[in-house]
Amino acid sequence: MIVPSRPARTTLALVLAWVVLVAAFTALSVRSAVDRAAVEVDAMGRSLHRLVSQRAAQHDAHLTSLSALALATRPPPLHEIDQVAATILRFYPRITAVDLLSLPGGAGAPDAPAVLTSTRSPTGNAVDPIATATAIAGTAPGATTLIATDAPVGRYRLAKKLPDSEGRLALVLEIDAQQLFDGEERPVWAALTLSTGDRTIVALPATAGLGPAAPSWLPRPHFEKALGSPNQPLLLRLERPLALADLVAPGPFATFAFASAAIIVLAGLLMRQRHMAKRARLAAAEAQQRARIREHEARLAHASRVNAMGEMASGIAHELTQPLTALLSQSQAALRLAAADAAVPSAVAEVLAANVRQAKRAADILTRLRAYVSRTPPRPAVCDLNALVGDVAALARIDLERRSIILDLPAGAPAPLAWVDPVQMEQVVHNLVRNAADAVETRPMGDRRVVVKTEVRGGETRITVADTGCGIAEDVLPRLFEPFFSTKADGMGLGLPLCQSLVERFGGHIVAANRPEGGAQFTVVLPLASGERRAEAAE
Amino acid sequence: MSPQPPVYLVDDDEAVRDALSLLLRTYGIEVESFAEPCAFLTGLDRRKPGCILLDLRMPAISGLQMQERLLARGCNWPVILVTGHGDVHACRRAFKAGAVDFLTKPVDEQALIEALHAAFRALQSSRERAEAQALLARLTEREREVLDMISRGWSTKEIAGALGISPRTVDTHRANLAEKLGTTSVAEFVRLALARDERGGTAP
Ligand SMILES: Nc1ncnc2c1ncn2[C@@H]1O[C@H](COP(=O)(O)OP(=O)(O)OP(=O)(O)O)[C@@H](O)[C@H]1O
Ligand SMILES: [Mg+2]
Repeated sequence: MIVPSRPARTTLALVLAWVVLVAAFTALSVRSAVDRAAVEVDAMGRSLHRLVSQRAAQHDAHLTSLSALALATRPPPLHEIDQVAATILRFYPRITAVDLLSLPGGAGAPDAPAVLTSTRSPTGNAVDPIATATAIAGTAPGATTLIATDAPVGRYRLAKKLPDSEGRLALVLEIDAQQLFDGEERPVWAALTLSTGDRTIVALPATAGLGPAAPSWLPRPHFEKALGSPNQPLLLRLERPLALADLVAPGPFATFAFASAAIIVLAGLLMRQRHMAKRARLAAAEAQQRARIREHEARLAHASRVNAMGEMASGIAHELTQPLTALLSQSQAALRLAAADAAVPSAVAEVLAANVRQAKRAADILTRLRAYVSRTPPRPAVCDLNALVGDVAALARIDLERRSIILDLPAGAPAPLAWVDPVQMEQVVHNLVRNAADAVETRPMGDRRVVVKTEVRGGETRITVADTGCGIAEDVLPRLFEPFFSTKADGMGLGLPLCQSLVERFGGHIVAANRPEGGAQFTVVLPLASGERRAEAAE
Repeated sequence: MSPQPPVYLVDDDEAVRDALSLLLRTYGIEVESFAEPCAFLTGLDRRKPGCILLDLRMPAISGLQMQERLLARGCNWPVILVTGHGDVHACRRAFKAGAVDFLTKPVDEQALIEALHAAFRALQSSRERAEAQALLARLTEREREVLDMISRGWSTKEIAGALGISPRTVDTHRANLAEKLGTTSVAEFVRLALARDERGGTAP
């Protein structure tokens, strides 16, 4: 899998954010458009429904009055019926035909249904008496039936079986359904249908071109309600087809998309700038840290060289001083013995005196050598030994990790303060850690552990360097601090003597011991920095 | 003067021990040498008071640590520290802990003998102080008062007046003092009275 780089990821995230924003805006505006449309449709639908219901109710009224007329005499007064029907047709142009049918089955009636009288407007159609009779065959006298199947397109018929006892007569109205809506201000968007059962009688599509239509899965705002007349089970449906332009107004949409894109790009730039600034800051801090460590290393290395040289010289001086002391004292003793004994020739005394002079001369040379190497005086200050140990650990860690040695710094005493030269003290800890590391190196991987901890106890501070090495041999123990004593192939044997003389400069000492659980432990004991020293340091 | 006290030489280097012993013996000084401090410390209670010549840097315990141990055991015999290094810090600490002198190796004969003589004198005076104090401890309160006044140069009459006793009684006290302190000399009285104000002792 390819993991995109950080800037690419950021760009992707920003683009996504923009898409989400625009989508949210779209959803919101669609929703409000749909809601608005729904309200509109509902209002329109209600007023239309009221009107159409009233008109439909008029058909029932006409049927009732015609039926009363038809039943007034027997046989029915066809002429009067025609007259009334003509009037109705004139005033109600949506009623295109009025027919009176005779139905079979009644006493003295013909066997087939027949049209007794028919009044038609120019657009009215002739009624098929047989189909109509069949349609109302099972209905009770006085009932009204809506017949859509047999009617021409866009029309329906209302057939009323007259409530005479035989049920031989029926009145039929033909209604142009479309004219039910006539005279009504219809908005351009309105799509109207009037249906009965699953049969559509009229369908009036929206009159205006809408442009591209909204996706079909969106809810279509519509109004649907059955007409008020129970005899005319007609369902009125008003629908508002939505156009894309209705849903999302292009102007605000474009403005929003552009503005949000601009903001996002701006945010992206800002983030990028912040990121770069942070990177630069981190890099600078890292470089500074590296420089600090390098400088520290260099200082320690320099001090090590200087002090190792000094320790070497003083080691040599010490070694030479001993025989020189013997030589001088012996010569002086011999000189005294010779002086007391008259038998000793004076030449011997002269030789002895010369020995004394040479021994003193050698001693002077050693003194000068010592003076030369001890010319760098320590610069003591109040030091927090925890920080000091931490610094040494930071320097040693890389090397120790390479050798799979674990360096452990358990939380030490709080603020173990000592009056020491920090660089020299670091050298001491460094040497002890190095020795410990050398000692554990022969152990198996998991067992190579060096623990450095600090302690404050009874007016003293301690730094303990413990290891899990093989410990110090019985015969090595008394010689540890002897200059040039080493059991290592490449050891100078100056590490511990140097540590000792450095620690002694600050009034401390070093104790070496084997740990009961194995390994060696070196403890540097230093006096706790006194109150006034601390105050001095605080100034 | 009583016979010269011994010198206890502690140094881990055999050649140095031998040479210094030889040199000191030519001066008629009795020397006992030890390779390490512990050997010296173990027999400390049985030894005659003497002067300790101590090498500063030795394995096991350093000279400074040994000096501290001596003090801890109440032994205030004079200590002369000898070192191979011209170590100023150690020197300062040694003096603080009561060292008489601090010499660097190789040790010069002259300096060594002078330091030893100074040490002997210190030992002597501290021993005398201890003796004086032992003597004074035997006096009664009244005798001590009388001794005090004598050492200030008062006459018998003046003492009697000051203490409100008869001159004869004062004479009796004087006789007792002479007997207890083993001297009739006023000068000795003065010396002893002064010793009372000082601290000291030679006992380890
Ligand atoms: N932690 C330890 N465990 C066991 N032995 C040790 C330990 N530290 C020191 N030693 C022994 O003490 C000897 C002296 O140590 P010292 O540091 O003086 O010299 P070195 O390490 O041999 O050489 P260098 O001068 O390079 O430090 C070592 O050779 C080793 O035998
Ligand atoms: Mg070492």
